[in-house]
Amino acid sequence: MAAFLLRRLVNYTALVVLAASLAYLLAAAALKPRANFEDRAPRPPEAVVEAQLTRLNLNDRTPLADRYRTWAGGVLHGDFGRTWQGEPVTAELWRRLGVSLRLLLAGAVLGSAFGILLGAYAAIARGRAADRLITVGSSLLLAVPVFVLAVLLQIVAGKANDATGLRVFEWVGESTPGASDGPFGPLGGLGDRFRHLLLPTVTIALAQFALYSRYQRSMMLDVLQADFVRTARAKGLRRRAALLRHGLRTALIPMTTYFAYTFGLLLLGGVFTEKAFGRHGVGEWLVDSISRGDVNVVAAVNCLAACGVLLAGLVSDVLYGVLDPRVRTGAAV
Amino acid sequence: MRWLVRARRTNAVAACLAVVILPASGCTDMGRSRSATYASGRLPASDTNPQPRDRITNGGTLRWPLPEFPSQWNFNHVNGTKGVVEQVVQGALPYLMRSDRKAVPHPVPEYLESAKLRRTAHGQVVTYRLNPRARWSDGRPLGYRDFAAQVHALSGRDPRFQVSTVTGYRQVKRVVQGTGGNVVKVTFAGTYADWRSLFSPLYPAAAYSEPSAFNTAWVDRMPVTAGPFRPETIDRTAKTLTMVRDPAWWGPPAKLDRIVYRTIDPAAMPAAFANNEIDLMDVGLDAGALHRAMGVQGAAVRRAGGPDWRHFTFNAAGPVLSDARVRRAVMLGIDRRTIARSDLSGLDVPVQTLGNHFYVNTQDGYQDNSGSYGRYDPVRAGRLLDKAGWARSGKYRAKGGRILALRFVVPSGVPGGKQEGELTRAMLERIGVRVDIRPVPADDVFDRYVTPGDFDIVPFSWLGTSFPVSPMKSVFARPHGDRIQQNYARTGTSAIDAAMDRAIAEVEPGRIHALVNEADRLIWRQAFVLPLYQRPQIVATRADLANMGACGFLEPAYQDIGFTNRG
Repeated sequence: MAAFLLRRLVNYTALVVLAASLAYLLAAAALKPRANFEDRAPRPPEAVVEAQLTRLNLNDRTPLADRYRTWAGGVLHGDFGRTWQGEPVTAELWRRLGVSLRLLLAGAVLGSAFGILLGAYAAIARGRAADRLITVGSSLLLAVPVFVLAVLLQIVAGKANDATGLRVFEWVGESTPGASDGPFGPLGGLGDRFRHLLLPTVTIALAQFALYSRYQRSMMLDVLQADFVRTARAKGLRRRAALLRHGLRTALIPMTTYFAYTFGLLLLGGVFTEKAFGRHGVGEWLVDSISRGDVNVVAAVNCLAACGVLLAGLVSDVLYGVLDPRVRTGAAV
Repeated sequence: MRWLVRARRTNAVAACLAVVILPASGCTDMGRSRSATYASGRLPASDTNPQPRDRITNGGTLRWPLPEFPSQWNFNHVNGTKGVVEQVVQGALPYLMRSDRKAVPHPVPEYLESAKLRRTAHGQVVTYRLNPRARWSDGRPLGYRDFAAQVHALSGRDPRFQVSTVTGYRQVKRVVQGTGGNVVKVTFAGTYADWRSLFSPLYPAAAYSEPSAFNTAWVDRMPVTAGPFRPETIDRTAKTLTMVRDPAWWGPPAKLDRIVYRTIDPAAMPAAFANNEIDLMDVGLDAGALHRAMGVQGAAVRRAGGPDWRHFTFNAAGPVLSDARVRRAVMLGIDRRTIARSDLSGLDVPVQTLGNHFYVNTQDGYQDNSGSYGRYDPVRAGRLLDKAGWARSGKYRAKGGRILALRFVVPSGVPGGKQEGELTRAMLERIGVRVDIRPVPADDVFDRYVTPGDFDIVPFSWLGTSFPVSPMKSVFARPHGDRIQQNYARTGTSAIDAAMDRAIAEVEPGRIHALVNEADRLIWRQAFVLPLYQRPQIVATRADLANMGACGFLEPAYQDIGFTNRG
């Protein structure tokens, strides 16, 4: 097992280096940070623009190979360079990663848990009213883009606030500035954070739920037909026990992999949720940086994504290794 | 959406809510039930719910959204020259002059008692008499040292200062201490018309004496201030900035306890405003957002003429439009009122065309110089084209086997430009000109099409300022070979250049207006930039927010901003 993991790790490291380098080269070749200065009137002095771009390693007049060397040298020391505003990328990356995780975690876990449960239930209740309801609901949710969903929820929440006169729903940012200074002190601040988390969590959970319930339903249907479930029943297990212990558990294995990978995508694709709810996470940063031509940021986020995806791969490898002995034997690798 | 607006900012740009990203016009029609409000058919120069200080509650928090969160708070640094930075530092740093609603600068008494200009044989000397009570938050009085450091840093003589512009400061020859600690004399080499734009904002000497301080000391902090507000916290995770009333302020104390600036994507602002999480919001020209804001209880929508203006630039180096007669004919064939009405539909604002390339309708000095060129006259347009040798053959005109066709470049996926293109096509078809609308990726509009000259007509907006002449020079000055600056039309005349230079060298406001309008008439005659309309500024606020709203050119006194109905 250890040798297997080590081999994987070496492979993955090579892949991360390759992915990050390609991401940097692509970003550096395609994006034009210089345009940010050229658009302005009066235009900043030519010498200042040159010096600024060179200092940030963003100067398109420096050969790409040299820029890459400078960048790679920094990355080896854990320094992803600076944004075009001159701020260190690494510190901002950690800040934004925290924001993204705090935004996404609850929604992703809740959404996938409900999705798996309801998807499995729909498979068991196949063809019945409950199955149809879940199917229609999740298909509807899948058809609605996240930003539409977010705005719809905001409208409903706003109406609820107006109707009740209570401010149950607030959603801009992680908290209201100064919330902890209220009569309830830090507890009030915590409550305020929770309140701000309600709407984004529901948005993400609904989107995730729709996806997972569809997958889980079809996965479960496959398993239900499988021999081992029939064997379990024949062995004398009750239907419920056979389905839960043997059916659901087996059907869950591919889902853990799926969860690991989609969480990475969720992180990068979080731009709509982040923008709609005034959070400043990684997804928003990536999209804004691409439009600003902020090469070092784009490269850093891509590097993070590569690491994330491969980490997810590693986790799922371990899980597979634990759950499925065939993976561990040399021949199968 | 870089394409839509060419950023344009000098030291004393007005407009309290001039967000640089301006969405395209909305296209929904909400009915025009309230149009009658503007009986004069004109937008006011500003609409800020002005109230005397004694009617305003002491206290309260103003929640102000920003579209982006700056990290460089030194406005004169190349990374700091942004509208969002200005919206914050206007409440915390000395502005020696502030514009009124018509863009006329006046001394701010808390900082400046008077500024007197004296012409000399070789230039001009300005004597600033500062308010002796004006002090930085570190206890030092405002004075000669601050002026000298700012001039040194922004003169461009030391390349280590990463300045955004050297306009104006480059012309300063000498800064000397006058009689008395609060008198500063600034000597210019030559005359400089826009001298009132300088030293607004003024930064402390400590920030500007060393390049390292200039470049980095104001990143993520404002170490020294001198205004009605001072920074309390900068939260870089939430991208939130809290400013609080500064008890050390020597002027009338700020009415608000604090201003909280929060970074919110413009698309998310209407919902945040509706849910009472922010107190004001720039609607832009988004009819949908306006509609939503108007439905919010306890909210008011303020409308004023903004500093920005929409126009068509013609490529005078193109194969067809290089002939001035054809350009004039195209101008005459376009009904500007129709385009303005279409762009501004659903916004409940009066439609007014713009007749000047330097001043907008509500600005001091504005004069409609469009004369016969700005009028819709398809008959005369046809005659001009006949004269230029483009004869009708079927639906379109042709000359030497070539059909009279124009490339109208619009950023794809944006309704505003597309609509303008469609209208232009329909109108020009009547005079036998074919318009081919070319939708291109929004990011490529300038890089790939406008700057290299691969277009005939392109619509976009210029951001206006209180001091339009020196910045607009880069737009209308004759290009030298490939060095076109921002003259995307690629033409000009020595007469226009000379007229602009005369205006820049003049210091008497009345004379400046006359000279600018003279230059403007020459530009109209060359017919390479067709102004359409002054962009309205539409701001939704809480109804009881006073002395703040759609400011136009007005630069508000932050200590007077407040709520009338709270507390």
